[in-house]
Amino acid sequence: MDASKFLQHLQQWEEPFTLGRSDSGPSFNDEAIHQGAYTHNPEMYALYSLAPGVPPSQQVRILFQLLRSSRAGMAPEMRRTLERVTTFLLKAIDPDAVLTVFLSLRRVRANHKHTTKAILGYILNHPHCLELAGSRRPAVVDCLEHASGKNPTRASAKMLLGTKPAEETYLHRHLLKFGRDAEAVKSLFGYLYGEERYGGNGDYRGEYLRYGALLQARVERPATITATNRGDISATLVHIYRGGSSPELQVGLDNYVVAAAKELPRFDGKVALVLDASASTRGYGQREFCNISQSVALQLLLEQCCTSLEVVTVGGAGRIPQPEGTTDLALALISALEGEPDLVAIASDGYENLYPGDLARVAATLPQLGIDTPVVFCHSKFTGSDDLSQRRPAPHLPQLEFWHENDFENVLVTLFSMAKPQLSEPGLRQFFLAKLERLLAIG
Amino acid sequence: MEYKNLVPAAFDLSPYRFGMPQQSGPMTVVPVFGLDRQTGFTGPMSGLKLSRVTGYGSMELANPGETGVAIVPLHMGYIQDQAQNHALCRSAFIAAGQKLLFEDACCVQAAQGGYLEGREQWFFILPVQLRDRALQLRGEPGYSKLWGDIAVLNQQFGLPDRGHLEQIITKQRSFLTQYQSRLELLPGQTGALFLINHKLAGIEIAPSAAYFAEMWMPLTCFCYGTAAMYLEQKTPPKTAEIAPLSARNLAELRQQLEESRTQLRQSVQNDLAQTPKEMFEITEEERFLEMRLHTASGENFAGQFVAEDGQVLYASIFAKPHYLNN
Repeated sequence: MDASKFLQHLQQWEEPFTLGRSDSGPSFNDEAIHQGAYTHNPEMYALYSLAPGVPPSQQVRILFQLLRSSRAGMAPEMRRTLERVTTFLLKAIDPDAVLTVFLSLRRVRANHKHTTKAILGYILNHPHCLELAGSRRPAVVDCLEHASGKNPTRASAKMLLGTKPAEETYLHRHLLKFGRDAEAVKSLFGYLYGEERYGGNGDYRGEYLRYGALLQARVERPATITATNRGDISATLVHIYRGGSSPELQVGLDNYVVAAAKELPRFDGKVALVLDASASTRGYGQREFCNISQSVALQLLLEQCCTSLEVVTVGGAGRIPQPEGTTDLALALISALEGEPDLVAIASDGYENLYPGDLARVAATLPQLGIDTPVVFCHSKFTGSDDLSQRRPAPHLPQLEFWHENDFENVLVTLFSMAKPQLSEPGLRQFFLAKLERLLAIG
Repeated sequence: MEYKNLVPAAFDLSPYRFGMPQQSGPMTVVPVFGLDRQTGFTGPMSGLKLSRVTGYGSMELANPGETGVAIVPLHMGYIQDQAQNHALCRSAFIAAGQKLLFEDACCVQAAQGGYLEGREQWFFILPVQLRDRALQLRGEPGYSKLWGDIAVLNQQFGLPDRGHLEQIITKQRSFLTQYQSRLELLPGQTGALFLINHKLAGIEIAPSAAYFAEMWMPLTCFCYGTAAMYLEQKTPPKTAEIAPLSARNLAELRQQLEESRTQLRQSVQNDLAQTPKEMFEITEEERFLEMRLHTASGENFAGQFVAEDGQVLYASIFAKPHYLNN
């Protein structure tokens, strides 16, 4: 399975990851897909958990896969990435789901060093470890005893409770080296294995919810959508399209593009963009110029992110084209392909009126010409809920959608992942690594 | 393209140039380019104002401009929330600074209280299925005179048979308004031929590109769009397998695409060629300086047009329902 298909799988496959009462391992019917992707490239596999739109149920699978698999022979840099992704996932995933992963690791008898470190590190350093133990006591005990071994854990417990002479070296090796606060570990064990009574409120999800809220806050999703709250780039373009000519607008536009591009992936190949600037992309009323502005925003970002970008404009002309004329996407696609790009993106409102059906016919003909260049139809919309039923001129092409500047991350990641791995992987890897550090720095 | 001999010969279309046909669903539009008279004519949306409704069936329009004449578009109507929507049965001239009371307007919303006021309205052109009847009813009083025909149209759409036009054009507005994007207005365009299901459904000519731009949405979405929507709802498009072309390289693909497009243009010409020749009965309705407003009535088509010195300035000629439906 290539990268784009794996990413699509992650974004669309939302069946739960469950652990039954029998002795068998966890139940998730896309296990082979995860194992295949991990075997192909463990680092990229892990990093794809950071892609936009990957649901928690898939992040859980990735966490399980990362912790169950041996890292013997792995390069230190790759190990470090897997460690960091594990750290992020343990912060981002609901504690109950994390415990399900840990219990699953116990069932499949996965006890690599990194598995032990992850389980003990999570439980012993959990900001609400007493609440977690209070609410999920049997599960927590099972996880600890799997990670450190039943006998060492129980022996350590006796030492911590004073019913057995303490051996500092033993305690450190099996338990305390994984905890940041020895007193907190002692308190936890006093509750789990001793007579200590828990008096907390049972809320062990507070930190997870706080972190989740911080992650959500990064992504603006306005309740009421206007022409100017769909991202700074398109808002500035709307003002320019409305006739704004002050130099501040152009400076602002340039700054917004550079700033947004800094947090987007790079692509070291040749991209062709078919930019639909036909009359319909102007829109009308309160939505006037919104569609063309967001499409041009994509163009400006691709200029920053791609080593080579060729733009084939349909309808209006110029770097910021005035929307006018008819929509002939088919001939534009042929022109784009004549430049032998590595990828083609068609940014359009989806209204094909001049010779409707031609784009679909051209797309259907490409395989017999031996052209396997990915061609992706990117729907430019006003809101996330736009009705696209009359706006799919080539339903057999891969489809992406965007209406807010935040959507460009997914558009670019998905688009680039469709190209040959030697072109796409370096840029995507750098992007995800940088994103990983940004996410870990939050909260 | 040469269409001038293919449309009803009520007036001379030879000064006009025709653009490439656009298609979306069952609707085809052939853009028309003529003389763009940039001064002298008030736009129907930017210039004409609904000043008041004096009673059911009486609607007063104003041309508050200082110069220029307003040619009131044929079958123009207004929609406003909480008020009884009205439409006109005829075109008219309104000089700058003048108000004109239409006492033969028809209410298009049965059993709705309240009068239209000059605020927060949007205008439409009556659905093509109702235009022949509305034209016949010009000059006749009676605000409810179109309710029966509206009820029949509603029945065709599977809606309650009431005289409520808003059941179609307001409740289906989000679908209908997509026609103005599915088909695109071109720079300098002063008119269009509308075809529904391969039949000529209307000829619309405006005195200027700006005037036609203001007519684009009411015509494309509400007048001819309702007929197209009816067909689209009746027979939803099948998602058929898309057959590839036989090309072996991009150059051949480009060539084959051009050939298929030539065939499509030819097929639109053939569709227009099937339009029966009409002998219109022409009646002069009104004069404004040298301009003459005429009603044209034929077997399959009818409408009104404005001419000056033999030149058509405005025309709205539409197919009658029996022609469109057979």
